[in-house]
Amino acid sequence: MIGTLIAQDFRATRKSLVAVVGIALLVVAVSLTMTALRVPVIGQIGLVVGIIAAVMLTLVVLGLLVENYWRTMYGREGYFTMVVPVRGRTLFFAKVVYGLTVAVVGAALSALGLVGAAVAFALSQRQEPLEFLRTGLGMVEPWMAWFAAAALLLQIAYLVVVGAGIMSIGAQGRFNHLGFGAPVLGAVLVYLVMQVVTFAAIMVVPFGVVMVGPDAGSLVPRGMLNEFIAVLGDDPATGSTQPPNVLGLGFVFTSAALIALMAWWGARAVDRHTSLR
Amino acid sequence: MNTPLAIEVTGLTKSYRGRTALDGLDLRLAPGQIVGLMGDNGSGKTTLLKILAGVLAEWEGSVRVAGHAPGPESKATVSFLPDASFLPDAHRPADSIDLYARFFDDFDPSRARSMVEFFGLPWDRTLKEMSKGMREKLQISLAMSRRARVYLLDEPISGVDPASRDVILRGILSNFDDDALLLISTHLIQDVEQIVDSVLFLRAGSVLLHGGADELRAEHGMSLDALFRKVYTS
Repeated sequence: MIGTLIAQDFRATRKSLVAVVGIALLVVAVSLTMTALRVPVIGQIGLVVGIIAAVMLTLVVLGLLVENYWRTMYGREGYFTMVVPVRGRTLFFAKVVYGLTVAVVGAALSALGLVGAAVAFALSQRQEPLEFLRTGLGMVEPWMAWFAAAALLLQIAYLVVVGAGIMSIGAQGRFNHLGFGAPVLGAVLVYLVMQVVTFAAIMVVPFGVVMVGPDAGSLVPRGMLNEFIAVLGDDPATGSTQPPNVLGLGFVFTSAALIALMAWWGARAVDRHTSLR
Repeated sequence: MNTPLAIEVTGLTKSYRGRTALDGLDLRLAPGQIVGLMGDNGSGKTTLLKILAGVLAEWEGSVRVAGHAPGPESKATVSFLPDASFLPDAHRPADSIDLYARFFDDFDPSRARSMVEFFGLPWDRTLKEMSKGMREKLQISLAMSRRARVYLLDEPISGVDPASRDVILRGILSNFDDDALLLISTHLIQDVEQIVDSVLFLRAGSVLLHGGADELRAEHGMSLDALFRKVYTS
């Protein structure tokens, strides 16, 4: 049944997704073509527009997923979804799996758009695009590329799972008189709490990555607290301020913990507390 | 051997933020009948149907529908028609029939197509392009095309013209399995008076009156519509 549910979500969203992604890619293509052809004025604006459109693509896709989740679970279409003879947690996980898949595809298309922007920029500067890309990528340490990709995937999982969880918790009987305001308030609350928790985790969790020097990219058993304190003690007037050498990775644990918590809580909310208005 | 009850509710209480919608409601309904669920506004009709359908949680008491607590097992045997337009606006009738066929094992697509034809619904029009009455007819076609043990219909004829009400009721009756239970809520008692086997009057979340339609008419010497007016104005 989970496959049927995922296929249903695809049917329900494919037209709007294709429209949004199509428009975004069209804007990216036209804008970057202007840049590549060095059209006066428009070419320079085109690069900015192309980059913005590429980044916005993923954000708009995530917005559509939110709209689809709320409408089909707690809007009037929820009266169909919630009488399908499966457990609430099955509905929740089908939505999450579909959301993750679509969001990853959206992010991949955004990344493709940004590569296109780099190519257009190279052409506008009369450089060989592949050589330009190769040089640009050569400046990035492999570990950094992997780190960025992993962080992006973690962020996508965070947004999809936590977003779905917040909506389902907000739709419980005790909160649903607030309508969509309940998940909005929940999201603000989670954001504020996570800012504090993540900051603390980056500082104190003994797990980080060396950012500079010959050991760059090495994982080390320390957070950023000592260096942070040292930076606070520096006197900017003497110019002795040093950027931290280690980036604390405690946020990985807090993000993973919140994803797990919201997956459990969201599934439980659908399972036991569904209350259609 | 006793026939198992289609619906068995004991001490059902449901509150919305301190406001009681159902107040210790007890109810036992056998299969093989059409029951009219009647009551004034806020009497708890929709709340009761939502709980039975499994779309409303956080209540107290005991509820069994077709032998199951509200959940996946009960949903497999209960066909619920809510008082809301729950199908996607972009759907044409065939899309909605396909949707039901994918999710409900007891759904009979050919019966649904026959009902759509019976109601004279346009196959080429989306729900967005249909009138309220047409949408209601399509939703009834889908709900009644499941071979369910319990049908829960929430205000299926409200907001449609009198001629359409008759057509809708005929459509419901022609597709109702004699072994099933049909619980239909409505304010329009006059329209359903001739089809119900028994009635259930709710007031303030409790059962005010429950009995066979013929018995109540004989006992009180008046129609159910007149009885309703008398009971709820007293």
